[in-house]
Amino acid sequence: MSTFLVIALLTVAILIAIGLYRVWAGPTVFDRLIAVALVSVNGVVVLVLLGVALERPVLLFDIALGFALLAFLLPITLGRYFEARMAREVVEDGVSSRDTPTTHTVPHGLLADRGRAFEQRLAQRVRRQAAATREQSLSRGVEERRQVAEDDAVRAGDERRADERRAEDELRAEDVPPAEDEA
Amino acid sequence: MTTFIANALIGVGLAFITTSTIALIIMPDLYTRAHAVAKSETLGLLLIFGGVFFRPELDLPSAARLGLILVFSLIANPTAVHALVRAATRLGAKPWTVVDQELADQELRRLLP
Repeated sequence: MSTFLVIALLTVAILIAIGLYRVWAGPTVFDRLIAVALVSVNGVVVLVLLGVALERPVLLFDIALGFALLAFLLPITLGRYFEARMAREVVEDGVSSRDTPTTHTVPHGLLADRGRAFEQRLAQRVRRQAAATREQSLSRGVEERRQVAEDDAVRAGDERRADERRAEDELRAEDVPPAEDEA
Repeated sequence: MTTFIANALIGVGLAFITTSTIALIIMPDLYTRAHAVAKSETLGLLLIFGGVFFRPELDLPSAARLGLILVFSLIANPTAVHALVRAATRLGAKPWTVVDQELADQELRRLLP
């Protein structure tokens, strides 16, 4: 029984304990079932390593094979069961099946907390950007109004010049008699 | 030498399984947890069993049993997780997103003209 295998077995045992935390705390049924799948796979690993460490591989590998078969059936069966149960409402002892959390929960965990903090920072940034954009649009409105006024002035000048040109044309037309058609 | 190869493979597999378990704890969502369990766990399992193949304690019958367990786990573990996540998806599980789109829309509607 080598020291390395003992350390490996202890590591996997600790991993099983950590996975059982998710089974206990998982907010939805499916989180618990996924954690159960992981714990059962770790159990298979423990059985295999134990078979090597105790130098009785055939016996413990047989046990591991049976355990793997059962552990494969468990999440699939329970998943189908809970899917059917949540799809149609089942009332047992006055408690609806819809009351137990299945899928819709607030995400939690370390990364979820970080995500919420990031979300708040993002909302602040969005708010700040929106305010900046509004100020910009207001100042742009002032500039646009000034520009429009200048354009009006230019156009008014153009109209005055156009009036003068039209008057000149009329004077020239009076000077030159209109050409007669020879046809 | 063979034992060293075996121990190295088992160590790498343990690293993968540890990563998968830590991800199961710290991930925020059903889909991310399922992702960790389905892929990393299966790879770690394969590496550990492949390392056990090189151990000097194994004889032919136990190696055949270990091969059976390996092939079965390789097929079964992702299948089980896939079935669970499909059931959750059909029931309407929402994926976790960092950006709260409704909050952002509210802010924009309130602030922008």
